Parts: sequence; C-alpha cells; structure tokens
Amino acid sequence: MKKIISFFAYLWAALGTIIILAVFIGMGGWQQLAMRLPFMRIDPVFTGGTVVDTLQVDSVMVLVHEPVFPGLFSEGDEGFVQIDVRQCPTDTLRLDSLPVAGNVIALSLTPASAMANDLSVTEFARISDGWIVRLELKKLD
Amino acid sequence: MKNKPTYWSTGRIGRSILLTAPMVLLIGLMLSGNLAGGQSYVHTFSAVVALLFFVSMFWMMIYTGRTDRWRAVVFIIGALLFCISFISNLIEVRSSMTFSDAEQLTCTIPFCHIVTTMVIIPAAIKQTIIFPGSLVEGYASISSMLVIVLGFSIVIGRGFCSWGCFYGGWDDGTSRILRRPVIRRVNSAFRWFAFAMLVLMALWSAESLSPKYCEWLCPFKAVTENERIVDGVTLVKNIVFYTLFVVLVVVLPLLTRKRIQCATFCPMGALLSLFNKINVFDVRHRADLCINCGRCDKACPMLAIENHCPTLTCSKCGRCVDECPTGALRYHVRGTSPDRHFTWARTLYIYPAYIFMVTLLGGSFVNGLALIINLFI
Repeated sequence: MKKIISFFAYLWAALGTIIILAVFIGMGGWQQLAMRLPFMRIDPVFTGGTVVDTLQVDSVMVLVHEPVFPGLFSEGDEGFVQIDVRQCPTDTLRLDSLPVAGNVIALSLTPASAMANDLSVTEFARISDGWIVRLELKKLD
Repeated sequence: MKNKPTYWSTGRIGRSILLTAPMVLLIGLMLSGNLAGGQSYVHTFSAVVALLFFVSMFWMMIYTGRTDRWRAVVFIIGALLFCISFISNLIEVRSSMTFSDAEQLTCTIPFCHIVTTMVIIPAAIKQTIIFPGSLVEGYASISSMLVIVLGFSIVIGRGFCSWGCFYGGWDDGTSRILRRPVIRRVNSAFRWFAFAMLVLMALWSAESLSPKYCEWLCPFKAVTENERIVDGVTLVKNIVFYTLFVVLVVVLPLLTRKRIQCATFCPMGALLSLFNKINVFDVRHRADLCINCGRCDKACPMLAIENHCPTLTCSKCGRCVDECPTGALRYHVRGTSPDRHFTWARTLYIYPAYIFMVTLLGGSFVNGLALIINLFI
C-alpha cells in the first residue's frame, strides 16, 4: 500500500512540471476558460455599468450608463450615474451646457425612484477623446 | 555531519549536465518570444544573457546541491529588473508611473496577484470583480493573473512567494545585506499578523467594494505605480506607501534579516499558505537527525520554523535546507518516505518552481536588462 501511495505521490509531483508548462503555454485557452466563470465581470462601480442610452448632439456623442447603487448584498441608497462624453476634444467641460443635463439623465434612469442630486459631480476624468463624468444619485424613499 | 544529505548530482559534472539539459530547452521555450528574430540587437543580446544566466544558476543549484543561494540570486535580480521594466512600460504607455482617475474609470490598471485576496468575497456574493482592470486584454489582465495564481499555487503552494513573486525579491534582497542581524530575536508569532491582514483586507474590501490594500497599504506601490497626487487624500496615500516600503521592505528586513513584509504583512502570503495544505511538496523535519542547533530558526526569513519544524507559512525557499548541518530538513513529496529518494523530491520540486520563476520574471528580466544596456550605449 505504501508503495502504491508513494508511486502516485511521485507521479503527482512529476506532473507539477507539466502543469506549470501547461499553464504557461496554454495561457490563452485558460483565459478563455476563466472568462466563462460567472464572476468574471468587472463591478459596475468601476465600469460605470451598462450603457442604456446613446445620444448624438452635433459632433458630440453622449453615452449614459445605468444608475449604480453600490452594495455588497443589495443596492445602497446612494450611487451615481456615469456619462461618457465622446468625440469632445475640448479641454473644459461645462456640464450644464451638455444635452445630458437634467432631463436626459432623468429620462434614462430606468427606476423612476432615483434622481440626480442637483448634478453634483462625484468623479470626472479627461480621456483621450472626451470625458467621463459621474453624477451623484440618491434613492428616493 | 556524516548524515548531511548528499544530492546525487552534487559535485558530479556529468549528472548535473544531464539534469540541467532539459531545463535549457524549457528556459529557451520560456524566452522564445524574446529570442526570436525581429527584435533589436540589444533585446536579443539581453535575451541570450538571460538564458545563460538562468541556465547557469540552475546548473549551480543542481551541481552544488544548494537551493536558496542560487534561487535568491535569480529572485532578487529578477525583482529589481521587473520593477525597472514595469515602470518603463508605464512611462511608455501613460508617460508617468502614476495613474489618474482616467485610468481607473477606463479600467486599465494592471492586476497584481495580491488583489486576489480582496476580490474573493465580492466574487462569491456579488459575482463581480472589484478592480478597475481589464479582464482579458492589456498588460497583466485579471484572467491571466488569476490563472497564474491558481495554476502555480496548486503545484508549488506558498513557494509562489520565494520563487515567483516579483515583489518578494525586494525584501529578500534587503534582508541579506547585513551578515548579522541587528535585531536578533523576532517572535515567530508575528507571522499570524499576515492572516489577520488577509481577513481584515478581504472584509474591508468587500464592505467598500474596492481593493483597500492596494488603495491604502501596499508598500510596493512605491516601486511600481501609485495614484497621482491631486489632493490631500492622495498625498496621504503616497506618504503611507513610501513609509511602509521604507519600514517593512528596507529597514526591518535589513535589521532582522527576515522578510518582514512578506512574512507579517502580505495578505497574499497568508492566502498562499493555505495552498500549502493541498500541496504535494513540503519541507520535512527528521527529528532523529536534528541536533537542535537552532540554525534553521535563525535562518528562516519567513518566521515559519517552530521547534525546528517548518510550519504552514513555509515558502520553500530552501534556506533552512541549505543551513541544516545534518540534513534533518529536506524537500519532501507528501505520501512518500522522507528517508528515501530525497534527492528526487528536491529535483521534482525545483524543476516546476524554477520554470515558474523564469516564466514570471523572464520577460521583465530581458526588458529590464535591455533598458539598462540602452542607457550606456
């Protein structure tokens, strides 16, 4: 019995080298396999969530994301809505001049129970072809 | 002294060459992308130097029968060149080693293996990854790092920390600068602090849905990438990163000759220790050969030895095996007798461990070396 256990132990140990090589050589395939795992998607806290509306006003394209209310077990009371302003190479961005302000955001919010909090900006960043803006949201009771 | 194990290839050139020959092919395979045509002369030259370096270190490991001495050379140089290569890559891509809100909001931050500890709970409950990185594309994507962590940890367990972690080389290096420690006694119970860090970071990150260790506590932000200072909060974060780096990675390892950051602070190290439980390789203590000299306790950089026995947090670096004068500590394959075939056990372990090291550090080793050469020509 000891000899059999030893044999399989050495076999498993020898397989270690093959496993390491297989991980390295087959990385593309393993990555595809990993992508099928149910948790392999970035949290909307970082991506901004799914784009629910796309607007083209003049040369500027505006992508409005779904509202995000971060929470581990259930949605929190406070959140944000992300707006991507693309094809907008200007160095400054006036939110109130954008077609996304106010009513457009309100229309895009699927649950009518949420509202934008006076367009208060929680985060914004300049990207290569435009801007990413996050506006604060609070759930209404 | 007569019981000190003599590895069957030790001092025998022919047998050492025989055992090293397959490794030459495997290292060549690992570096094939760098050795292939179409690269600059400097890059190809660096790849050849890397190939010769990796092969010669492995050959010395086999020929001399010492593991840690030669592992550490590759590990430390690899960690330094990794950071040089990583920072230069960042400067090339985004003209800075800092990242801004734009990189976070566009999810282009490289994923590091330590983040794994913080994504587990949200992945289980919310089925999402709480990190602003790329799933597949780009440098250090999330899927590739998760495959690396899982695949390699199954084979070598916490050996990950001493054979592949591109941060570990920093405090491994600083812990070797002084020949004798200034602080002679470090309580090995401090190693449990890493487990407390693991639990704390996992819970805090899950509660806040953001990787808190990366945001606030990672000392290695000082030598990789960190948040651009735009306000008081980012200033405080950067002060914390650099302070922790100086204290945990430079000063304390220098004074204690222990890898303080890895042994007591890194949540990933604690998680990988759990992989040691399911791992086929371990370092075994033979009480009948032990003379209680205590060299292993003093030598162990990970505070992992208790009563001359390696414990759960052993990173299989091999230092205690090298230090033990009687061969009471030796690499071992679980399920086999520690009295027989111990040379096989060691060879079976250092093969995958060394391939892992070359896989993870090889590319950046070549890039880093090429960058340094380019500075001088």
